[in-house]
Amino acid sequence: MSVDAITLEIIANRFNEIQRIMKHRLFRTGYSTILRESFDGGAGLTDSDGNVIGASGMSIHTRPYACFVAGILKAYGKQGIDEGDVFISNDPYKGGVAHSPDMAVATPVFVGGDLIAFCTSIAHKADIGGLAPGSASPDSRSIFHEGLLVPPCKFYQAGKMVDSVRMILENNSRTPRLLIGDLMGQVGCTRVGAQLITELCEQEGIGTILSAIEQLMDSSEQRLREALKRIPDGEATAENFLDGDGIVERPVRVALRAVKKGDSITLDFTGSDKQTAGPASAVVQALEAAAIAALLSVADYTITNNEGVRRVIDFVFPEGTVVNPTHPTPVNSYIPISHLVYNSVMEVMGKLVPDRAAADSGLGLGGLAIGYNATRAGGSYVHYEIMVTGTGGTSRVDGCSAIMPMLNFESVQPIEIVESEFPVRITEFSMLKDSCGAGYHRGGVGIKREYELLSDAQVVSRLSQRRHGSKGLAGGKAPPVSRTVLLEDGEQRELPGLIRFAAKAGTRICLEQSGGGGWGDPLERDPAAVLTDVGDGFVSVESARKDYGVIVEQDKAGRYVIARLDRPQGGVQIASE
Amino acid sequence: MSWMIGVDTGGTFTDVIALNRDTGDLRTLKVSSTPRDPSQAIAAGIQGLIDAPGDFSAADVSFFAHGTTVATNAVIERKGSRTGLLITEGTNAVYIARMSRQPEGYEAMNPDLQKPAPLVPLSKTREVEERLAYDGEVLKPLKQENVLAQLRDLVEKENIESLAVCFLFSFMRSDHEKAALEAVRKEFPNIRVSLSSDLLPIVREYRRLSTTVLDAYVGPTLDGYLRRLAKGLAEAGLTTKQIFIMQSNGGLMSIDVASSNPVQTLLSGPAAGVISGKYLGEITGFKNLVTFDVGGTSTDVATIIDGENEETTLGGIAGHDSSVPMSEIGTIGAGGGTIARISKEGRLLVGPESAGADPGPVCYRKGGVEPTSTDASLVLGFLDPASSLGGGNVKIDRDSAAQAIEEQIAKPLALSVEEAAHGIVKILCSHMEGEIRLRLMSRGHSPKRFALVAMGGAGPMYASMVAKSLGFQAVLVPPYPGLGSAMGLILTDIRHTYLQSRPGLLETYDTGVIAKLFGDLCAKAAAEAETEGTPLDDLRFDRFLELRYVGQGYELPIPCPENLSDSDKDELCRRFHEQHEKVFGHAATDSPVELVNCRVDSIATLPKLQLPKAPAARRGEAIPQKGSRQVYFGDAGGLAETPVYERSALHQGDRILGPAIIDQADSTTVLLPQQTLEVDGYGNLILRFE
Repeated sequence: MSVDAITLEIIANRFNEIQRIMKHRLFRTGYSTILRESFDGGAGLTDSDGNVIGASGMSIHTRPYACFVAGILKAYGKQGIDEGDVFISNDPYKGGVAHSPDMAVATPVFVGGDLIAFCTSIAHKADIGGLAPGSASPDSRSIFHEGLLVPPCKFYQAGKMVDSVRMILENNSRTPRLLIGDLMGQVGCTRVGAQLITELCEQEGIGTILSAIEQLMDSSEQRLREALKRIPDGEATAENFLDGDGIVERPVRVALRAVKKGDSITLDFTGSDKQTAGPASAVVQALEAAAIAALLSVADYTITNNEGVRRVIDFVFPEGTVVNPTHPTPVNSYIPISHLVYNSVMEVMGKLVPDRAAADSGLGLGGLAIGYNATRAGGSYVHYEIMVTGTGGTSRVDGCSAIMPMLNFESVQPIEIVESEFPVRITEFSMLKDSCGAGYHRGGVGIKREYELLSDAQVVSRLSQRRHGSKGLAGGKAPPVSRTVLLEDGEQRELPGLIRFAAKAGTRICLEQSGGGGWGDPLERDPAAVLTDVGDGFVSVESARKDYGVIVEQDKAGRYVIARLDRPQGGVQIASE
Repeated sequence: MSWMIGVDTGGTFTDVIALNRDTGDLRTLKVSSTPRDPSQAIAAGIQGLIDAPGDFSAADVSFFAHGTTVATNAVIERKGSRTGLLITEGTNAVYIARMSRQPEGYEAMNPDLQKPAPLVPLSKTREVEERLAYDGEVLKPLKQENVLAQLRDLVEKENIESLAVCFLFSFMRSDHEKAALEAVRKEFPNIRVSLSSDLLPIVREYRRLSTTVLDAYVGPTLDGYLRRLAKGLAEAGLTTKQIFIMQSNGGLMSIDVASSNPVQTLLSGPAAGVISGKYLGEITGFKNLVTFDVGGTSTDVATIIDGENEETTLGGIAGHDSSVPMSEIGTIGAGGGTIARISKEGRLLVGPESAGADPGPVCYRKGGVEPTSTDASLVLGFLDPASSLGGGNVKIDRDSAAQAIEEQIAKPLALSVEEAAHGIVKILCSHMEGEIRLRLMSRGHSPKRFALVAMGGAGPMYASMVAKSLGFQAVLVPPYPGLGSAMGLILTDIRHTYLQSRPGLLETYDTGVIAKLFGDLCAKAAAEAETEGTPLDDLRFDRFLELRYVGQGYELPIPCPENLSDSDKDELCRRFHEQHEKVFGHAATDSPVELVNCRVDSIATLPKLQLPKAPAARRGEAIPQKGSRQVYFGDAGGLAETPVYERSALHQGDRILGPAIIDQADSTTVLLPQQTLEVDGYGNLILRFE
């Protein structure tokens, strides 16, 4: 049965809208700041076999939804799933999530007694036990250090909450109320989704809906294959390094070899380093999702990111490596390696189609958690910040400044809120001059954020890439490497990314976050754009001269003007945009 | 002195509505907009009222209210003033980094994603040496000579006309920002200044800053326009002092106050449409409504719950954030000019591209080649092929519309031309529905409790399809659907909101401090009321405390008694928990409650429009039919010979069973098969599914 073009479009709109309703409902009804303000969560739909129909929220949750449902089916089989059940799991190795603080929830959708789909949600939890508050610790040496591990299991059975599961969860979290509150928000939003899917099936007929799901997946597959056909065949490799695993200062290698042939592509990570003792590895589903995000943004980012997309790509993630660790390797710090995989895929695509790809985005993502003895309200909340960098330049535009690449997420918290709630002062939050890679289109600009502790505190840094930075593309330059600088007792020293330490009041922690890589030859950048960047303080006069061949001086009134160009003779076009 | 006038400036037309309060005489008029100086079209509109037969005279106008797009367009087209910005030293990433937000849909993977370019670039931003702590303590005093040096540099190099000032924690203590203002007054008296501590003294520096920048950016432009408007009105013979501008919050403000609060006018027109919807709800008894205002390129929707329109402090325009409280209005990129095309994979895509008014739909024969939703509606028979569109100025051509749909849509999909046209309209409606469903369902509202208010020329054409699919209980078509915004202008009060952040735990908060904060806000409100010419006795103050759970990122306003004492706090907390439960589905009764803002809404009641009664009910005689035409309803009834009625010929109490088409000058109402229509006492059409 084939669904006509008009009905198909309406059903596609409805699926999209149902995911968004679920997501908005989640953000609105969740308890924790993580959900309501940092938006660290999302919702999705899969068919009854776990094939993703679509997702709303974090793009890196798509593959986890598929793996979560696969985990449910493995544990229960379809015959073990009943109407009114709700499943949960936070086990990266069995339940599909990227790390244990992420809790996945799925409500099966039944129409006329048949299981036809799952409505799913993943949301980051404030705490699920383990070594450190927040459950993600640089000290983790095993998945068992990362908190309670809930395998795919029933949180609701035939419409009733399984109280024993709730009691076990509550008993294992430092923040039981936030944990259950957020979890109930997830249950609620997946149930709303299930109700909407049921109504849609009643309107359009179950056969039509099931056929439409197939067709929408085929459509995404076809669109990606068409897009790949337009990219020249070839092979490309990328080699990138994580700073280390937090135990030994030995770089961790991520290797990628891409083979693009016709309408398919192989992404082979053979050659990546063995899994590490400290938390540097990430489970496959998280990395597949990051790789898909990069591939789609090069091929055609408007393609619906569903199972059809996954069919086009042959992934090779050798077992026992940092990109496919074996149980019980710790995986809590998955963002750094996901970002490196994202950049690696972008890099190989950049070698195949430089005009379509973006230069490397700025490395150095991750979180900074500061635990004070007491907050201003007297409680013991942990001050948590998610860092930004900048995206890379493309053949079309400069990169975007002060943003979390890979997710295009703006994650900055207001200074006035942070200082009102915690004994800390943010002494600087500035655009960081010369932090972007120079290029015909420069990278997005990075930032500097400095914290002065006003009381003694425990600091957990899960930041990445303080030694290894990003690259430029198509002649564009690399940005500088991100840095953490500690100022304590009048002494200044640089810190690695993964570290936990005690700090005294008066200590300053300064983060210099790199911007994105440049795209194309900076000597061909429009001099007027260089002048604007100097005026905005994004690029220094020295860099304008050295990197761009534009000699900028100040006139009598102190305005910046172009004195002359110092560029190679001939062949250099001055682009006017 | 008995005429009330409302004038709404739109992209193509300026709508005028005039009501004689003594006689109930209601007149409407459309004139072409004059985007270069919108006040010219207003003058033309007033002249039109004077020239028309009857007893209208400009000297008899006692009340004039206006919805303007001048500030909005200045932002969208980036044609505001040369604006500078003063900030606290070491904080220049605040405006660029913005604050927590997640991209919608596939924007998360857009490699070319850009934030909207700042209205004031860093080259026009100067950092001032000063710093306050969270509690208002001065950590680094501001030095007058330092401010002056920064100002002179800004003026010399950038020749600014307008200045925004936003220092950290200025809502706790405004003297640093005031010192900057003094410096400008003294040395550069011609530069307009917007102070964040004056405009929006609330916590969260990014949103306060962005709002202040918007205000400064549009200030001189709006001010110049309002001066021209006032002059033009005086020249047209208006003598009344009651000249008002619509604000984004759905309340009016005097023309002088508007000059000093430009950021309040960003949603001036759409907010008036919501007020119309609210009024229609009151007179028809529908408490829960969604207003559905369909324009050429987009559709505005807003929800009214229990008779109140929803407010947001997370609004903005063209990606620039504003946090002054405004009506919550959503915009969907689907309207009458939305283009339909077939994608490479053979999918039928409708929008978001639009043919707009120029070249417009294919049927306008002004150069448009791709079929639009208007072309599809014409082919289906929704629109009268003999009618004129675009305010009666454009003759339409059904054949060229049918040909475009046939060739570009029907043939590739192997459909009949009617089926293809119906598909286009269905997909268009599914986009509109999606946004409405999202707004309602994500807040836990059931669509079954809602009625849809059809506004804009094309609103009544698509409303029934949208409402049917959403499961709404009814569709409401007001007498003048195309004048929704103009009507709202003469249906509201003067309304201002004054906010002041002073965060602290409610339990231990000194009620004396709260009384002082409220006192200051009320004094500010009273001073502004005096400027507006409102007698103090006519002014009502509604006091609210905006509360949150400690650590949360948003507040809820809870009504607060005038003289709050410690013993009232438990009751306030109880109401907060209750409201939180209502809005978000849960309450955390064991969490400490924090006071974030004190808020005063000052309201001065104004005279309002009352819709005249529709012609009295018939006694037995049949409803006169204007004619009939072939209309295609797709799966809802196929091709049917459908009776056509003239709107002005309908009387109260008339009932029609669909299918039917109701024609009127600026709008067409489509009644689906099996749907019933009833005319109420005011001439509203109430459409229901039985």
